Amino acid sequence: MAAIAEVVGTEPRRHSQSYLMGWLTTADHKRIGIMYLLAATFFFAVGGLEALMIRIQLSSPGNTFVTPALYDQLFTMHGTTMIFLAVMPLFIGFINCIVPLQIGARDVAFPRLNALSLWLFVLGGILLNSSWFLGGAPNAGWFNYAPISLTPFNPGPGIDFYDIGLQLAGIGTLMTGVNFIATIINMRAPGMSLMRMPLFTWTTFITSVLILFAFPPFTVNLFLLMFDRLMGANFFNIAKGGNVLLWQHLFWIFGHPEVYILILPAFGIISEVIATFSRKTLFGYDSMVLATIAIGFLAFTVWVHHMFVDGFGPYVNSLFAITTMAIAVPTGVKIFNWIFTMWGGKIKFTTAMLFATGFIPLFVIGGISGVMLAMAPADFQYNDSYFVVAHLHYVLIGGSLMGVLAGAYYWFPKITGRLLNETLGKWHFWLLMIGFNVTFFPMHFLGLLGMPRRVATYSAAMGQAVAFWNLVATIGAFILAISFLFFFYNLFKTLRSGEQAGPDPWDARALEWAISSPAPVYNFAKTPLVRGRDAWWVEKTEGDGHLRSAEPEADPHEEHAHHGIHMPTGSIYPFLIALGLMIAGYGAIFGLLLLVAIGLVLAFFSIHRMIVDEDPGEIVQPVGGDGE
Amino acid sequence: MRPVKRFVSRLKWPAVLGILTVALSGCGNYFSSRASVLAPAGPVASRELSLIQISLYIMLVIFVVVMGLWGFALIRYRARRNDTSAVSASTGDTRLEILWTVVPLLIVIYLTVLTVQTEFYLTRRPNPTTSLQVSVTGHQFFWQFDYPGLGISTIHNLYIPVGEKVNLTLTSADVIHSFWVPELAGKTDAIPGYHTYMWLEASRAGSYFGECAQFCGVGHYNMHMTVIALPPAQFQTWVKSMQKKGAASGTAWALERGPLPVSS
Repeated sequence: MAAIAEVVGTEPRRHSQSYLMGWLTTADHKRIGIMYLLAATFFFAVGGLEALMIRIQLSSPGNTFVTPALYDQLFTMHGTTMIFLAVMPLFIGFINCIVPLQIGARDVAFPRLNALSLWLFVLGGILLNSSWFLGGAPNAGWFNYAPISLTPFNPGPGIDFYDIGLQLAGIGTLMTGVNFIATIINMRAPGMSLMRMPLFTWTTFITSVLILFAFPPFTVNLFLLMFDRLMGANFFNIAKGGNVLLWQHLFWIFGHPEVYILILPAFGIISEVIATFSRKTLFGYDSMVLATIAIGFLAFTVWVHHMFVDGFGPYVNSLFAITTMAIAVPTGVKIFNWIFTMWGGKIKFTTAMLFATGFIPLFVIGGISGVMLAMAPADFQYNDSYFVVAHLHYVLIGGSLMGVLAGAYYWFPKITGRLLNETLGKWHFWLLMIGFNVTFFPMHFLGLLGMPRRVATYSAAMGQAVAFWNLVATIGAFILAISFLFFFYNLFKTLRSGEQAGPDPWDARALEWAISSPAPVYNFAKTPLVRGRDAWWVEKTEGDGHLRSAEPEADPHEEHAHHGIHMPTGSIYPFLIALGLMIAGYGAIFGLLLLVAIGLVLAFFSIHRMIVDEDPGEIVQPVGGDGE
Repeated sequence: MRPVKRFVSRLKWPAVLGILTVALSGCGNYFSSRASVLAPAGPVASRELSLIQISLYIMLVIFVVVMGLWGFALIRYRARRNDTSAVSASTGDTRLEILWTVVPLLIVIYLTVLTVQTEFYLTRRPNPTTSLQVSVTGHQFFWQFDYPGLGISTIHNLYIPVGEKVNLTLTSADVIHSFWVPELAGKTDAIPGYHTYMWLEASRAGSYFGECAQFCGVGHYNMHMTVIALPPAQFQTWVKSMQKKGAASGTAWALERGPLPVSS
């Protein structure tokens, strides 16, 4: 963090504040974004190590590298960590760092709420992972179906860690959704009409709407489970009139939109990167926006395709098969639009572009197997087999993670001011492509050969082929892991001695590239006037290469006296609210009512202070003319 | 070395499709297993496999077309040195966009029709008076089969007559399980508090390996079963012998506890 602070140390620091307090109290969207990225990268590494242990265990039949009980914890924590604590917060990190810049804003609509989102995610994630040391990690899968998650079948505290940890992180995510809806609707610079917004901002907007509607059912579900486990309620207890399918419905009403929360931002990043490095404006912008909205809407109509084998009968299954397959149409539109953005362009294969173009075949494979899975009667065979494991990793690694990495190579210079090493980047890309496909393509075969998911081991009697493809997948997983060593080394090396990027190293198109790298704390010295799609490109090609100001020209003699920039000040209370809730969470898990009381008092006191404390703001003087 | 090169250079899409077809039909050591979806032994699994195959072939065509366009764009439009030509100013093409909306829509509609037809075929319950009825109960971590009309119960082993539809009613005694015999039929979950239904039929005699597919706890990996399909006459003999055993022990029910298939 020290190395990053050197290059991002743009926030004016009050003398009374220590370095640590500067980060704990910050409300700056760029610093919050960086902390999201750092924490999520850490959790990504943890989830990756869990995956390697899973692959070692499955490398040969009847292996005893881990016990079945430990294996169940590993696959549960791998899935939960990667989805909630790695990929989603990586996107939220980029959203925080970039979206306010892309729309010409000074910060998000609610800067302190943004800090609260961050700390709820970080502390919720720490609470969830601390389960490893406090009685055992959750072991009922990331989907955590009732009744195996209930006390009679799962008396240890693991499921409570899942429940409380994801409540904390989930509320944080929900507030991020609210924050970015408000930010994108209200804080766009003059001239930035909705249909001029960069695609990443558009997908962030739709993602935020999905978060707003998808996370409440999940939170409700977690509360019901908490009532059942900690307070003796019976929502899922069939002996007392409860219903186990209630969990499944509420979970997938959240869970499927969650998949699109994990992919739409990637679509946005791919759109930015492909347009930039093809040196063309995005092909079919309008249809890209419409397709994003259509996918967002359809996302809420397909959840039962996760439950095709629940025996709901042909009418229900047919309906949800149709809605699911319908999603293929807007998704296909996007794929063709990306290809035709490259068509007729001059493609420059930077590492960011390699990840963006490599995204296409992998995501198409994931999309194809998605359509196959949507055919309910075929899904009777695929369901809960390794075929699904293959599919979901093609979508989540081949889709989401490739988007994250394209974004990482593309925006790293904007976030830190330094360019990631391209040679190391290309090693990362090619090793990842090989390792990924060697790991996950054979899993299609494994599913068809009858290997169910979540088995701690398999018998040699299943046949030579099952053992063979499992070994191949394990070898691939290590290649994949090695590719990330190149990436982490690249991050480390670049932060210490990377090449200075300058404001616009890629000759790019959106507004974030018009200001210095890293962006000054106030972002734009003067709120820019947006004169077209690809707002910065317009100024470079049709204007004089400088942003127009949307603010009235002031008398130059008076400017310094009266026209500083009003910025929000930081606050420690968002951190204390999250800390209080975390303490209360531990109290609830271990039945220590005093701890619950202490935590809740701290949280409510801090909420109260955050509400009544006036934020006087700070006046910051911009450095240069138009922020460069 | 040369013949190999010639072979590779002659490798064309029909050949690739051929290889995939062979692979999917279950030939070859690397594409066969003890419980393969690709080696169906009854009408349910066959219908499911044919749906898998049709959709896979259509998807392969789509994949080849998309990858062709993608590869062409990457190679043809890569930035070259000393190339001063302007990039295309195109921002969209309504006709193209309609084309790649409508064609996928038509494909999806076709797949939908197949899906709905198969779905209704597979979930149509056989006539209870003419088909064998079996109640399946999932336990942590074994399967129990009750033949209510015959007064027989078995553990681990499900005996069925060849060529007859078997009507299964599933439930669970504890957590959710999923009944899966890949060579005979896809899955149906066994859910506590619910009764779910499926049917299956074996076209030829043999024993078919079955598993629990829904994660059900620490013994999930080892929750196996065997479906033993007997010719109808032998099945009747088995029923008689079981009933005799039951009568001899003085209970109305005869219980057979088979060996747990494949312990790891």
